[in-house]
Amino acid sequence: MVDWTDVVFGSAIKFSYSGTEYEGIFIHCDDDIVTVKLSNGYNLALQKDQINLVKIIRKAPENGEAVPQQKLAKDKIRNAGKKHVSLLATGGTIASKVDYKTGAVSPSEDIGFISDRVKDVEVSSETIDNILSENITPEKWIYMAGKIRDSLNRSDGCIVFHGTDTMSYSASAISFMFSDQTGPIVFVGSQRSSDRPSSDAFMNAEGAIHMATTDFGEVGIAMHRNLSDESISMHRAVRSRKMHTSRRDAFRSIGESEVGTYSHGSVRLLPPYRKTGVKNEIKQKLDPSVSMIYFYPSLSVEDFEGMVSKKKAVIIMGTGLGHVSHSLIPSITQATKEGTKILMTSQCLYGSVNLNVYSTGRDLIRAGIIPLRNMLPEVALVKAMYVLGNYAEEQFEEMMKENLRGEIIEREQALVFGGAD
Amino acid sequence: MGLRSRIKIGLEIHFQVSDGKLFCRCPTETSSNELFRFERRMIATTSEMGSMDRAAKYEMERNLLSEYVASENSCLVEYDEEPPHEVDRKALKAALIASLALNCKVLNNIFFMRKVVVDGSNTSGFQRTAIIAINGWVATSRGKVRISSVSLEEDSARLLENGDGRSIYSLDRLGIPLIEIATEPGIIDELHAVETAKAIGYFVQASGFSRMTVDAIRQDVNVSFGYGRVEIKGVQKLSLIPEVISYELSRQESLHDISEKSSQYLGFYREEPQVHDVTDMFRETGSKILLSNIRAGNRIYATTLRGMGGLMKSGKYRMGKELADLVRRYGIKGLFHSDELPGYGITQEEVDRLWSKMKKTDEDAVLLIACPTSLSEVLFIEIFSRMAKLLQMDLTETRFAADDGSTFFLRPMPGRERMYPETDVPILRISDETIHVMRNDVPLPMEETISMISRDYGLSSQDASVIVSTFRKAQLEELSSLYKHPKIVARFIMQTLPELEKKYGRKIEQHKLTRLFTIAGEKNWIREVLEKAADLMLSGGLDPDAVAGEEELSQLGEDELRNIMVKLLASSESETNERNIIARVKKETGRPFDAAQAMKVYKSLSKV
Repeated sequence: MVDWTDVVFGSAIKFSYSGTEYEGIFIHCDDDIVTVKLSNGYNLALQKDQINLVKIIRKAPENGEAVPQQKLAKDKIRNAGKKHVSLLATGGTIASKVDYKTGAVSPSEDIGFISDRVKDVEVSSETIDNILSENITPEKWIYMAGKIRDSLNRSDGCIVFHGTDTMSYSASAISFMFSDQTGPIVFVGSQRSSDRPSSDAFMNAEGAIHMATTDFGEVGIAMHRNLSDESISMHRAVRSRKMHTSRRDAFRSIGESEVGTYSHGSVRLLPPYRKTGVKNEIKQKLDPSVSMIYFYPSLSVEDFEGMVSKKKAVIIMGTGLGHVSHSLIPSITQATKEGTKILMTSQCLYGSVNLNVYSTGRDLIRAGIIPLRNMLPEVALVKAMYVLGNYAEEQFEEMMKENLRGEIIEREQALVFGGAD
Repeated sequence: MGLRSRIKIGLEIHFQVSDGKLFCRCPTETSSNELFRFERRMIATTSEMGSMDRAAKYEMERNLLSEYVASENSCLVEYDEEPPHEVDRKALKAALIASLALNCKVLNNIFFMRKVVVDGSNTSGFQRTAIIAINGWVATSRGKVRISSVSLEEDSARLLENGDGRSIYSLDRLGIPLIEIATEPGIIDELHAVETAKAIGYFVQASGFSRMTVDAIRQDVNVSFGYGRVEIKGVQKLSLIPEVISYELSRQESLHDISEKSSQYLGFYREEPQVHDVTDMFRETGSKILLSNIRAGNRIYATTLRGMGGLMKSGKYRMGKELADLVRRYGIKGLFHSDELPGYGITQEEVDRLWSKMKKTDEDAVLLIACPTSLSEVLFIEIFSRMAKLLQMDLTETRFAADDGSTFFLRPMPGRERMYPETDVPILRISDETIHVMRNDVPLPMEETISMISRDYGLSSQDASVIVSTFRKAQLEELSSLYKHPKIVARFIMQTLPELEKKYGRKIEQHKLTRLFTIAGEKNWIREVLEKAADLMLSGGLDPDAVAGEEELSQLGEDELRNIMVKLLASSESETNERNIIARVKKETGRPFDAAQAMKVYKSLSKV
């Protein structure tokens, strides 16, 4: 008597169910459900106690993973005499596939799908990690920065496949770490996994590769510009933010215009931007002793102090112009006296904090808080890690207030609020 | 040689469910307002088994741009900008009831799959579909027909325009739930197919959830005459089933003859077909199609098809159409073959030069195609492989039915490679208890329903039978609840409305019909007013509320009737009498009136 445990994924089997015999392909079996694929392609998830395995018609090759992928990752797409872009894959949806056993989307190392799309650029790829981006850490940013520097030393530009959830954090961290760079660094993700015919991965990667052949000497994020497979926007990493959970055009430049667009095979960059330099210089230390507090009505002193204690710096996302409840001000005073840096950003995301307008703001200044103008909260977080890691403590406030990579908008203009078309 | 004796027919019938979309909470009905448009290009990907489906690959190679018109009843889910929400409970219930009515085994775990469709008709590049139940049967006068499965799936986007490498779709239909019922290929002949479709349709309609608009029921016919299964999609009316099958039979018989004849000529495979660029031969041509192609930067290609002379288009031989259907799918219109040349502005002299260049003998055919260079390679590979496939009598493919019952090539038959799991929708558990409870909602058999309709609405059993077998029961019930004259409703939906719709060549949408009967009920219209209103709606393309205010619609009062008759009696050359008075009044006025009332008025006048 054959048993389900004897059957490997991909085997052709005959089984009986509801009084009829069927042929199909065995997919998966767990404690109470057997999944089989019928000849018409449908998967049936049948109760184990209702299905009988009649026989194994043809056993799939051992190791269960059955059929080889039709398109395997190519190490290099050769286009002699063309610009050379290196691709570093870290995981995320753009490099994700369906895991047919669990049914969930998970990272894959197969990035061969871009090979058909880009004929005018030579692309070499390397998988340096394989994670969903919520699992990113400052240590991984440090590793990533080293890998990007090495890539730039042997190519004209570098693109990084990254999950979209924390892409702005990662790209900002890399942006601060590179004080000079020989080629563009373009982060790219996708909102629909590449196993789907409608995936935005193909177009996003195509756009990012072309962005990486320009003289853009900064770190950018390339994603869909709108709902159409028509144009790609590049956002300055330190002004970018994921503003939608699921749309292709989830990324927006906050408070400024995008820095570049790609459509119909050509890139348009919108100055001002830093031009590519002559060497790749990184300061690769990050001090993760920074926390971020989203202020809300009823936030207790106890919880606040818990988030502040033992941190070297704390980013507060205050309300409006940069406020928190009066009840927290004694705790802030105490913390700054003890040397903790407390910095103010706004939940509004758009616009600057200004602590001179209301009495609460003036009290916060007296309490020792450092206002960060229109710097985005997440950018302030990674910038604080960078500044703490690479500069002396007495330089901290000055460095945080200095506009290092375009993270502060000096003149905010009216027409870039909202971002949507 | 009896292809007919080997006939095997199976049906796949699709019913739209009316209660909102399957994976979001958008309504099924919508206004015609356009919100905005966006564009996508689909990329065929590999399945969980690691290979690419041939139908998907074929569609991708056409590399069409799809443009989508966002309708008011669409949201981020239809734009493929948001994962699907929970499955619509009513649609699921409808599918479960239909499954039970068709004696199926309902599955305890509903597992949604993605059926890859890269022609652009789904914004995601796939259709979400799940088998709800398997292994049932439906009774017919010629025995039980086995049901292989009942599925619940989302409808595709509605094609508005197609051409020039671009397809334009409306999202109004995308995501409407469809119940798909597939039979085994055990149907005996065309008439049995119609009967089976009606029997299945009855149960789905009687479950009370199905939508009642023009394309709400669509059937695919699977037919085989021993040379592979042909799936014919989009058969809009039951009455087309026999025509579609007989068209397919004669097509296959003709292909069979072509295949034999061509092999007598030593066949198509005598040598590898060569493709020549003959653009320069036609620079001065009088053919408008070729000239406009050359001006657009396209090239003219020719190839000699050995052993195909006289088989492209003469008598019953139609290989030319098989190829024209194929290239049209790539947006190419400029295809000519030797059986139709000279012609279409191409002269005898041009033909002679071409034949000589192509070394055409009487046994050979020459194919002439105008297309962009970028497409030529894929196109000729497809043409030669389709020819070879047809000549080997491997006729398996997916076709589409035109309104006249003819069919055309749509794409290769998809295989199981085009299905992979829909990971955004968790497996739905259906408990035995749920199934047990649903059994109470299973509709009565058709005969019992007919007698019930007949009794409840006071209709003749013949009328009741027509209502039930043409799936108008739910419509009768709805409209009769608004306008409490079921006999008038029955006559209206069976006779008046189809006649008017035919006359004006347009349809009244369901929600407008509902509104019309609501007004009719409120104003207690007589039949004549109702019919006049429908006439005005169709002739003027008006909404019911607009029509209700029309002067033409106001019923003639007693005084107005009397005035008309007095005039008639005074002026008529021939005698006005009891038999012709109604007709004469009708002729005098465009406005509706009550015939019984008119007769009363006439009698009172003639007594005087």
